[in-house]
Amino acid sequence: MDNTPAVKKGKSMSPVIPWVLRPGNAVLVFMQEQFNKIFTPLLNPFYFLGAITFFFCWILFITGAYLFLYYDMDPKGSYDSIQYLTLDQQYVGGIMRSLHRYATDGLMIVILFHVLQVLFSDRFRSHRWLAWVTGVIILPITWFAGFTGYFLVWDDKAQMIATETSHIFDILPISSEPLSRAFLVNDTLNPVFFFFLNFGHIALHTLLLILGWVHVMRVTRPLISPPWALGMPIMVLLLAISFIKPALSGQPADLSKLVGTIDIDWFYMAPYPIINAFDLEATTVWFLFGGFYLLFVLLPWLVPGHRASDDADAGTGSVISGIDDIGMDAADMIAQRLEENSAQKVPRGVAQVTLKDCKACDLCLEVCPFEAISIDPRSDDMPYSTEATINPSLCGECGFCVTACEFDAIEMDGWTKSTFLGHIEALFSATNGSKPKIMAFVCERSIDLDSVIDKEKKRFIGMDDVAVMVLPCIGVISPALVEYSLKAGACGIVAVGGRALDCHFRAARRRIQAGMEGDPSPFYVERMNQDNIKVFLISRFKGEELLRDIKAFVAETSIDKKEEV
Amino acid sequence: MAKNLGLAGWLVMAIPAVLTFIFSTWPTYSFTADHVAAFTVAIKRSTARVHLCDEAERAAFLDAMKGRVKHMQRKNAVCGSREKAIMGLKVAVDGKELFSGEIKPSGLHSDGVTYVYESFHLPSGAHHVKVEMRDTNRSDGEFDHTFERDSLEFAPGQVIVLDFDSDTKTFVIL
Repeated sequence: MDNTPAVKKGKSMSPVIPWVLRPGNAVLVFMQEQFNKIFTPLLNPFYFLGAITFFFCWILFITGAYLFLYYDMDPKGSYDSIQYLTLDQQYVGGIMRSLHRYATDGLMIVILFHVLQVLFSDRFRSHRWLAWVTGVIILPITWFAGFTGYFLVWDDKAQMIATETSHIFDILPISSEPLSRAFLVNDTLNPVFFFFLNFGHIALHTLLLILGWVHVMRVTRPLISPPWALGMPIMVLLLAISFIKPALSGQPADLSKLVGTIDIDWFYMAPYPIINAFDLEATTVWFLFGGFYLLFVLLPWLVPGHRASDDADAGTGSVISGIDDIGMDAADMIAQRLEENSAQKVPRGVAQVTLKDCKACDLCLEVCPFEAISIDPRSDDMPYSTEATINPSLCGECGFCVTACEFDAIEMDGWTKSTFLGHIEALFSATNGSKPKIMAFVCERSIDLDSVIDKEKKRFIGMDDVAVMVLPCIGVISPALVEYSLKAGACGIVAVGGRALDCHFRAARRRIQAGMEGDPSPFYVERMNQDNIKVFLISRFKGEELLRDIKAFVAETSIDKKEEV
Repeated sequence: MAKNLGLAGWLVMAIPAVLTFIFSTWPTYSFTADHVAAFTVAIKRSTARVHLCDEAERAAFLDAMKGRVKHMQRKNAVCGSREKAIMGLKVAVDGKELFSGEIKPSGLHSDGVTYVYESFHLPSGAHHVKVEMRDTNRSDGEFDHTFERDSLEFAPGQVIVLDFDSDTKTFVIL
């Protein structure tokens, strides 16, 4: 009989995700899970959207360079030069043009998915604001670069873009002469304008690459190229569309005629039919665009429910326990530190150095995945030449440095390594009911905590022998925590994290993965049987499976312990 | 680590490709209905200055400049206000007023060129078109220039652009 405890049906999302993002988060996680089944987590395109964006950019650069060689920048010759490429060089120029065109569409699709993923996985706030803001800047530039490309063909689509866009830009105080005057009649078209637009098109894509660099600047080891197993199918599919449906020009632009019915690239030109259908004035267009855009830029500061600003129970390691369970000394220490931090206006959640305890040993520097820590000249009279400094704007609030510090010199939300250790001791103390055999560390974003953890007992549901500590990330687990768990009475360690590659901090995934692939485990402790350490990288929807697997692990580990005894 | 996609992976990857295939050209959209034409009034005109100095004012102005600026600067100095007149424009088609308004010259001091760009969609066919423009500071409300055609033929989809030739001081169809 399967006596696996049933998961509690309650809130389905981790409390860390703000409520406004939870519906989108649920859909996103569900889709990621389905994709994980099809692609495996290591090839799930959801985890490589940023990298695929770069991939499309490179395709655009290479194909664009070829098109540039043949493009005639004169308005009278531009259409013919594109026609020459498309028809007379069908299997080189035509394919290049089609690849260029469809890669542009692909770029927009991937960027939109990337934006939605970043938004609904709550990876756009706090230290990630710069990536969000640059990403939001990249979006309209990508769009603008795309339609300048359409313009260069100078067919009926280009005419529509030219006339409609110039009306919208006319109200901006960028030129005394209305832009619309540039497109009055065919004879008044200015070759210099085409020259400017052509180089503007190239410059915009170059700007995109530069912004892309700024975008990932704060991301440690960003993924900027997809795995071959994903890049190759993308290329094959792009080629397939290019052969089956080559990109073609419409009728040559003729300013003496109105634009009638045209085939629209909805990925780039969707706003124009909307503007046309509702007969929107330019001021209305700018008002709507500006309003939505401003809202989008400010999202990192508008979305409520940041972990660090929630109540103390949502802080590091205290989701389950509450500070009253970790021994009075530690509780007093945390309370006192929080009070001091509040007085000094230290941002909640951000790690900070207690200078008097810092020995400038560099351990924190090595583990910080966000490059938020620097070693600077000593500013007090302690006999060390340097000290660790944390840049609050770069701190990801992962807590890696807190447990890495041997000297209790780093704290986050009042927690230091000592308080973590005190917490472990309290979990194994007799006051907590039956003595546990296993110490489990659970990532607060990995699973619906309420569905698998008994908050009162600080145990997995139905497993009194597994003490649970919730962490901001399982990358926080250090040898010291493992060592202390053993000392407190644990014979095994369980770490529960999110699915591989879907880690909020990513660096933790790398650390855990390195341990799994033979490098020294981040949990390595000399006197411990490595078989008694188990890492579960799980799907948020697999609560029952997790409990069943942990139960099996506990059974095996308990046998080991008996044998050892 | 999986090195290649399976069939299901390829099929899923093909979804955005198919979306691109379809929505890069379909559905088509009609920006203007059949039998519609456009009449565009696009004028670039430097209107008259609001106040021109008479001889006496100019002499007094040059006197005042003496000793303050060099000879060449005096020669090019502008006597009176640089401000130009606000342009008045009225566009009527088949007796119906489509536009009537005043357009300020460009420039912070309203001393630049005045630009007009107004486009009107009309049913194709012959129309009585009348465009009146005032480019001076006259106060009687009358217009300085008039373009009028009893029967201007607009073919379906045709765009007729009316500009103003500053040299001949007449309206011209481009």
